Amino acid sequence: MIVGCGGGSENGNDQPAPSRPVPSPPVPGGRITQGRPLTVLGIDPHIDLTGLDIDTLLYPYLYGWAPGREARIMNNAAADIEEPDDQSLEYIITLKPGVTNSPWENNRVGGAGEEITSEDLKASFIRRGTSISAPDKRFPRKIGKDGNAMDAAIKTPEKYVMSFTMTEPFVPAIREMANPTWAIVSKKVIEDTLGKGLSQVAHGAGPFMLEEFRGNERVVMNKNPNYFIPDRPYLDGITIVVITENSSLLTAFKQGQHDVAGAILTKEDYDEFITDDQYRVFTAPSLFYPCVHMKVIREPFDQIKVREAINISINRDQIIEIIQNGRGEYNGPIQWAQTKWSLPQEELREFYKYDPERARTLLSDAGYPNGFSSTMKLPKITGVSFIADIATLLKAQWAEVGINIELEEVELGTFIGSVLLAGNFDMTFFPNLPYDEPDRPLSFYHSLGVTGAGNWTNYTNPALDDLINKQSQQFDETERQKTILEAQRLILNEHGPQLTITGDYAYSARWHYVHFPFNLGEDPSETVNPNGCDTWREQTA
Amino acid sequence: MRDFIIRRLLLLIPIIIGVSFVTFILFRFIPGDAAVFVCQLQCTPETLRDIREDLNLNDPFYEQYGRWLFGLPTGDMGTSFHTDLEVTTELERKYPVTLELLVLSLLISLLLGIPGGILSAIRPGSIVDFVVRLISVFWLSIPSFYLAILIITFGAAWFGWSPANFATGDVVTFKDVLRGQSLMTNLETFFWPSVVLSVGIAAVIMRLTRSSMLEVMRNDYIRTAYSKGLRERAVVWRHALKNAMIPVITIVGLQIGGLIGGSILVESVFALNGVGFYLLSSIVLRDLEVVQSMVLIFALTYVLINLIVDVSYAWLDPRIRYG
Amino acid sequence: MAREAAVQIETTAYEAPRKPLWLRLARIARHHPLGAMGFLILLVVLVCAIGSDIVSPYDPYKVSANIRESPSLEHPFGTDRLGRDVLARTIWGARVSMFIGVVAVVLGSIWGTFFGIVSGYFGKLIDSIIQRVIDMLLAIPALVLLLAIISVTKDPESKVYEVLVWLPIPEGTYLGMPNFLQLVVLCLGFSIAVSVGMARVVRGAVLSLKENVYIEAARAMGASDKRIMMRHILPNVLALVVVLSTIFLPLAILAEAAISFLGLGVPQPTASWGADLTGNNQNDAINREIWWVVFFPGLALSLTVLAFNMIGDSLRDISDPRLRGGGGPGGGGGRGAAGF
Repeated sequence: MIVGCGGGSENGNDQPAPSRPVPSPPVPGGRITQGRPLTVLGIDPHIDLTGLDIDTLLYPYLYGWAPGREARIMNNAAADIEEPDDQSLEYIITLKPGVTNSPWENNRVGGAGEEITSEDLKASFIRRGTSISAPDKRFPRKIGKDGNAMDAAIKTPEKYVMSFTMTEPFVPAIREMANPTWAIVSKKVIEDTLGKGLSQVAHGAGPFMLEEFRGNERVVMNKNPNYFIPDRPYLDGITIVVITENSSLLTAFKQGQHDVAGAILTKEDYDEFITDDQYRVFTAPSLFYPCVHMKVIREPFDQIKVREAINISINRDQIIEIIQNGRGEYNGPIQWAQTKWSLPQEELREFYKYDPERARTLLSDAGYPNGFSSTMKLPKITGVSFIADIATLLKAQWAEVGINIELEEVELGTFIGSVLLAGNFDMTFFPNLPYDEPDRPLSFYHSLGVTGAGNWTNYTNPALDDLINKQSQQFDETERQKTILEAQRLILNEHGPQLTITGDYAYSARWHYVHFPFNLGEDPSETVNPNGCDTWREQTA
Repeated sequence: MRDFIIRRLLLLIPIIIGVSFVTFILFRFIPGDAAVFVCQLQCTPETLRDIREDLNLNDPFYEQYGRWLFGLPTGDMGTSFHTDLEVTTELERKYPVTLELLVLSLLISLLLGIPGGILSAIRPGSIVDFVVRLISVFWLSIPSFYLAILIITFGAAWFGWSPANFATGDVVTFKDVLRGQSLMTNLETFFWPSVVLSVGIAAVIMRLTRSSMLEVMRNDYIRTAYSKGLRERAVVWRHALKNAMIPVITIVGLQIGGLIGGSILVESVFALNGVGFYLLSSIVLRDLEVVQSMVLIFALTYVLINLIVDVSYAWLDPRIRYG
Repeated sequence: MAREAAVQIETTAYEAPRKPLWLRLARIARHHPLGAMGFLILLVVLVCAIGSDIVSPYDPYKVSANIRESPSLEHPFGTDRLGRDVLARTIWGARVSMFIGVVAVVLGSIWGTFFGIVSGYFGKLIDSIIQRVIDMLLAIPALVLLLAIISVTKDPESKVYEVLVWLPIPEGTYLGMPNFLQLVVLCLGFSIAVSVGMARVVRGAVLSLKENVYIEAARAMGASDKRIMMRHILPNVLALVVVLSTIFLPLAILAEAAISFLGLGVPQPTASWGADLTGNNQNDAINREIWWVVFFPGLALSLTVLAFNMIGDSLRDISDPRLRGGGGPGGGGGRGAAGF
């Protein structure tokens, strides 16, 4: 979940041609073991957010998504999706027959071995739409403002057909439904496991079924014999091993204990692995982007000159050099990895050119000839200490122009509650989640903020709000692009409330005998099957 | 004697209540709660409110405490906020790991410490003595987590070794061995963590054995034995060692408390899913019921061990009797 | 005749000339080589701690482009992932560790002595209550107790911060240590743990002191409790407290390292021996063979604790030669019981 799949057409794979030939056709059988750095707190697809990648292996979804082409891949439970009107207010979804639940032995939970029907789809939609912890309920709210409204709005005219009409157009809806939180769960399962019943267990129709779940140790999954795509999945099973120490994860991978690396890799790891044909490594632009947030209603951040000074005294090249090992680009309000929507790189580099002299002048003009002092709070996320590292660099860079920032590391639990949501900060620095569509990154600048409850930085700009609202309803891509670029340019000149820094690359690695249908940085083809189906391994001794 | 034991056992009850209450109060003040870890960076104020409601975190504190406390006599030690797993279930899985770690550590420390101490005592002032004392003070000083890191770092760099449990995420415990799994894997998994945990205690044992032996050897009855013509080995084994061991055993008993605490650090570095690591991760995740129960268990174990030590001390040395 | 013989003869007692101080010290050093070594090590650590800005060749927080360089002439301990000099970080780490250790122990001694004296002197109910509380706190594993206390005191919203704001403690970088206020808060947390152990021992001493005749006499003369405690008990307990402090100091330093190692102690990017052993440094060391970023801070930590232990041993040897080589529970047990 940390590493976003590349959304760009740029494929940064410098892998030399593998000296080991890839055998074909794929061979069924075998298991793979994959490492993982973060504890899985739960795998309920509608409620838990830490196990979503595992959910894609255990449950069916409507369709897959190709981020590069921004297109649906109709490889999952949906046979057809109709959007009769040009505002896409109405959706008519037809399911494929034969999407069948795995056989589970729990007698308390009904539905084992049964087909997914439109009733199940409706129940899943309602559950997801009303889930207490699911992020971003804007889409389901446009179907119905609460569970009862959704129940009334969603119709199931036939066994495999479901339809609903939204109250407002919403462009991101189509992307949303491919999101891992929109798993299709049988209605019987939902009813029999009320509440947190699916947090530690899974009863689904996905390519794999859950054998064992120990969220802070390991997750074991076996092939679903009832899976609706014939001869899939190739693998007999997948085991995910949780080790919270990044170094230990890397060790385990190198020793061959893990087939797919779970550690958060850097360019050095990449450089090390790429010369060894035992491994296959991949890289793609990362959608993860750390940002500096400023409380714009407090001094001195209320002055645009001060914000600009802070912005241009950041030496982004140095960050790329030291933290990202020389690889990466500048980020604008929308990450550079979203190549369709982000501002041109030359424009960003020109605008964000490192200019400490000018920064000092600006500070002087604003009334701070000797600079000023403030505090920047950052969350302590175990295993992700590049946040602290970047912050350390920023601190040193700002000190050069007289801006003295104390770094205050706050434990994650406290950070979310007491710092972020409470708006209790002057400056804060944390990674924004890797979204691969433009709506969410822009909502950081909206008056209502990401949560809809208000912007943490107290920033309001009605003109910007209008643009952001507008783009969420523009189905014509060219038009939408124009609006989004316009919005970003407006944001640039504000030098806030968020300062975006640089975008890094993500790296992944696996042993040579594991084969995925597409790798990091590649767009899945139209014929690819759902996650996990097409993965296979060579039978090693 | 019996009354003494009974009285001490009865004292356990207020200790249980006391420790649990202190823990409860202490941890209640720690900022952040389990709810934020459910939604993490996606949290919104309403989400948090709903999750807290779901986890009964909004109930008044005496209700939460009471619910947990009165569950104890029925064997219900609470449930994790995150995994919904009962503490008792998790304990059953995890205690074999920590138990083996502690037992092995103790064994290794005895194996390392006692011979070293004896050697040093029978040749006081010699090179051997100096070397043993140097080693013991080294072992006493090196922090367990540093030693652990060194072992893993150089183990990986020089021998390409990494702990067995990294492969499967599962630790082969002694129970698994009894059920037929590989003893070698089990020993391989526990060897280095036990060594790391043992060196501190080994140092204490070494030093204590040495000084205790020296005390005893000075005694008249030892000189009598020598003058009777007994060989040194007989003297040492038959007479000196037995008496020298008394204070050593009692001190070792007290050190077990430190072992239990030390297991927390060692388990986390070596990714062993034992009781110590369980406690640590629940503190971090603010899983309060788990924390309360686990701290209680640790405290109880510590108090019980102290009791056993006191009793055995009184039993071993008839000169001491508690009225 | 005899009487006349009994003339006062002035005699001058023959006194051997007093040997110069350094000669006496050298003799002690020769008999207690380990203690002497320990003393030297501690001296080096103190010099590093007090004179960090003079001793350290670089600024430990200055980032540079020379990342992950192995030890060389320019950087004897190498550089870390942000190009910071490891020798500099180790030297400044001495300051942080000693600062936290000393402040924690001093503060802990103050509360511990206070509660120990009050508890021991008044006895009865107050004693019972305080002792039971101490019992319970001692029953909780040290690491867990520390974690709990630190987590509570570190919270910016807590009452602790409200009180501290009143005091003139700088929030930012002070004495070269960033996040100074947070460090003080950490010290407070550790001092609570120290005080618990200290109170127990002090109380024991007070109990026996209480029976002394001159205390009775003072009471008979009408001295108030407060006066007795201050004038008679406190001075006698002071020596014990000092000894205890020297035992607790290395424990406090170890505790800070352990807590920072877990990531819950000093905040980034403060140079602390424990904090430098974990996180990205650990990853670098284990997987990229950048061993120097963890080896040297850890070595410094171990040597410091070693020094204290060696000095402690030698002092015990000097004061009671019969206890050569280990002594009782106090000597060996201190570190073990803490479980670090």
